Amino acid sequence: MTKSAECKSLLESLSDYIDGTLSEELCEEIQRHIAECQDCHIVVDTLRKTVYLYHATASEPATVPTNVRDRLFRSLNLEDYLKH
Amino acid sequence: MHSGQALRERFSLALARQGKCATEGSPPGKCEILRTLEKRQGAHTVPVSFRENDMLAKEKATLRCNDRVLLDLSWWKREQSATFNYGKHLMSEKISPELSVEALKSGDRNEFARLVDAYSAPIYRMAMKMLSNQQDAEDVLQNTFLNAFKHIHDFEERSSLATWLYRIAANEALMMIRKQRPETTLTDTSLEYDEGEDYSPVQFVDWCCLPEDELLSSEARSRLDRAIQHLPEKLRIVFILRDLEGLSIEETSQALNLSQTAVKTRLLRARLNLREQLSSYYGERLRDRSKAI
Repeated sequence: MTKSAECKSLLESLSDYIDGTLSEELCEEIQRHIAECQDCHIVVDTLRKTVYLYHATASEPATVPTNVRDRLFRSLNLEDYLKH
Repeated sequence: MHSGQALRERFSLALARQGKCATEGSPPGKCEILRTLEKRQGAHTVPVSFRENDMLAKEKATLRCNDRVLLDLSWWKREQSATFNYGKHLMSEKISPELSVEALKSGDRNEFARLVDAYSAPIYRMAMKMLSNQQDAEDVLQNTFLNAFKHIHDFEERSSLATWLYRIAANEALMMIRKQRPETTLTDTSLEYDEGEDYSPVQFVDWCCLPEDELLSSEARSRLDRAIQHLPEKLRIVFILRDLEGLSIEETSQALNLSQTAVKTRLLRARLNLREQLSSYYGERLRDRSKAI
């Protein structure tokens, strides 16, 4: 397989690789490739960091503004269950 | 029920926070809890029952948020401590109060109010990320629960209640975008998703070395949000459900009525697209830093 074909084939497995759902065998194949291919090494590291940054921002608790919650309960005729 | 998939994300995240993943190898593909090092009090108790052949299959354990555990990562690094973090999958039915589908179907208003309280925040957040407009997000929130009220009898429990609500909310959000489409297509065709488009990386700047406070500064956070808005909506919804709301691939496929293969393909494309956008932004920050030195 040529180098660019290898890079392309690695790309298809990247999500599974960074999520840790790829088979051990394929993980080793990717590790061998990125040890020799600087561009793919950067893509793997920055892709992993991208996902990590979004996970970090999403781990903050979700909230609904009080006025939005009030209107929601009213629209559902549940205003008698409104408590703050 | 928590899947091994959801649990795996928590461990990946915890390890990444220790700065190991980016430089020293790949994230855990197989690991096992060796023992709990430290237990914290006062957070949600998360009973963990691992499935056979899953990543953490051998043990049954009860962990709390911020518990420190020792993992066996023999294929990557002999042992590694990690913090168990279970804050992300907010729609999890284990964390939210147990709800009776039977009571909901019988029209129990008290149960419905509990359902709304349990799930309105993540639904609103999902809609905000999808639409980036408070009024539109509020409309999606209201329509989601109005439809849930109306169609609860059709809920066959083939997915969790949470996934079913996400499914309604995702449809509402996508319909809203399509209604607004005539205005956007005139000026911006980049939001259309082309299955055949080449998503090969073009940016090869290594910005992982930037410090955490710069990677997550308020300016960077708004850039992260803006980048999501530049994704075609079919990729955006997959990314939001999977990576922001923490649904598994299977749950995402149920919520969007897509095959798991299609979810995986779109998720990869979304992530690669975001990586390109962030590489432009953080690459610039990197150049600014080198100039300053």
